[in-house]
Amino acid sequence: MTTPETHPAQPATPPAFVAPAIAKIAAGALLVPGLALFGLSFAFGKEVAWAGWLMGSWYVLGFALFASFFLTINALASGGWAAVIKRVPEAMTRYFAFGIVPFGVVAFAMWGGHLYEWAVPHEGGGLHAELIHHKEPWLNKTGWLLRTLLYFGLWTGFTWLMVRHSRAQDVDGDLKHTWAVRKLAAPFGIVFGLSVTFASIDYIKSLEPTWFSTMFGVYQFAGIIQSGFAMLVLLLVLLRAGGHMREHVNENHYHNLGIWLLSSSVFWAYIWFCQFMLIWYSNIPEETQHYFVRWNGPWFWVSFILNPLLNFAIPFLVLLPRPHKRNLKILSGAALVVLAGRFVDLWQWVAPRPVFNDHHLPVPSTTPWETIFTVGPVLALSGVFLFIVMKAMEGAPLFARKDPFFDESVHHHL
Amino acid sequence: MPKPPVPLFCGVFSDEDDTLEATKACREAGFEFYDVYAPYAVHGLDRAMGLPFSKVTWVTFCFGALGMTIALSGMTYASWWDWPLNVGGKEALPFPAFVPITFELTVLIGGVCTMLGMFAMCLLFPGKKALLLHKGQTDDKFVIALKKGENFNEQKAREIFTRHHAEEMHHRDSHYNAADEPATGGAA
Repeated sequence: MTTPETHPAQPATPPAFVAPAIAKIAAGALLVPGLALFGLSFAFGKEVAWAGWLMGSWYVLGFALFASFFLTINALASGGWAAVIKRVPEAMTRYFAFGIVPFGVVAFAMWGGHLYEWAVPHEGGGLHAELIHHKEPWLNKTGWLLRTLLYFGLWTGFTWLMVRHSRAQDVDGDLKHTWAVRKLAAPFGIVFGLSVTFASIDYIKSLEPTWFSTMFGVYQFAGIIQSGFAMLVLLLVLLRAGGHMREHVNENHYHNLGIWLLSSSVFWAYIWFCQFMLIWYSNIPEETQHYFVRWNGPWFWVSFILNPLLNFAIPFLVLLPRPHKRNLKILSGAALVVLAGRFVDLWQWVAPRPVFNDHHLPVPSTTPWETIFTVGPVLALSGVFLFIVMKAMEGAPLFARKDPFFDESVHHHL
Repeated sequence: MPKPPVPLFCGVFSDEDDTLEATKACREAGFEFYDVYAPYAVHGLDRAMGLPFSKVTWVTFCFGALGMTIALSGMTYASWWDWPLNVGGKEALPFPAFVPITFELTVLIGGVCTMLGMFAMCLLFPGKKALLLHKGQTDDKFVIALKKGENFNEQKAREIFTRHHAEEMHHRDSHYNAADEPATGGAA
């Protein structure tokens, strides 16, 4: 009997991951309530329904964007502690290839004259129309479509190459793959920062094309990173529940993820509040219109109470003590709260649009209770996301055991 | 009233890993630590000694809460209770304007008092006379100081220290101060 030449810390045979059929069915089953709610939301008008679809597309895309960011910073900063869990974010990036499909549906709605005011030809004059016309070199349908293809091309291409190198290392154990990923990560860091900023402007901010904020890109980035860590925690918890990664992923790794979740919640709150406070202070009408409709009336409770409660106050206070970050139940509870908070954050952004009443005052175009059904696309596309992650994880060993940081990661200690 | 001196048995090491391993071995053998000294923070040493988790986090939390209270009550008193002013047409109690200052005072008072609390817990103050069991312990040496209790097994302690490449072993008491030793001349 021969002993395999492996380090004692490494599993002798890489445990293959096979997603249980019940998990795949459960993920696929999310499509049923999701699409049903999406269909139901058409009862409150096409604008409401398509805005919900856009929100779902952007919400779930955020998980893949987060994963690409997580792999990138770990590659650039020699973040070795995550080597033992890196197959999970790698699988999350596989959503990019599918993620363009929901945005194709958004394009369909846009060509139908919905969602984006700037995509509809404006007849007559007025300052509003003039402002929108002024932005036409950037905000036009062809440009939107070309940029979408560019964003998804870059995201899919870069992450596909990074994952390919990581998986090739499983076979030959060559250090050159680590360097190759790092060389890809350096330009991708820049590509990521710019593309996420422009994509958030194209998809979300341009819903209110006459509104100004120079912080919108980083505001969306903060939400993406925060919800992404929450999703990563939940995926690891699900894997653990399925009997995987029990030995090598321990409370020290959860502690680190808890620190990330806590700090990204604080970062989100900082950015969210800064964007609001600067506009509140300077009190310029074309900037305040956005907050005016959310500050006055029923949206106040969603935008200014529920939103900071779910995204900041609860995760901050819950995750502050050290033992809570190391307790899987508490950590995954906080992650669920953050995922709900991300929905609320996008919902209060996408659903009420300022429309002007007879007194030329902006009023919200919708109320919270007629747009709550827009959670449908979030559920449906999350189901697709989970299915894609499971399929991608089946395509590679669960542990990147020849990663040079693997040993360090297994012995990670906080 | 000064505390009576504690009789100690010290091992002096010059390697971080040796010190860490020796500390673990001493703990497993049931020795009681007086303290372990290192010229810099050694990762995992607190755990190896079996120290309880630091209480300094509670100092940070309480003083952070105090800073928050001072900021909010002070601004409320000044701009609403004592002398309401119209600043840029904002309401007299403009909560959004309070947030940055509240944040800053929370961090400032929390942070400064963490440092002061740590000094208080370690009985440190400016001008305090250095108390060294070994001259090198603030330079390049690591010192494990074991308490010589009733059942102290010196043979066992010597065995553990030697096994982990201890350079010197001394009987000291906790009032001993190597800083009082005459300069040895050639010592680096």
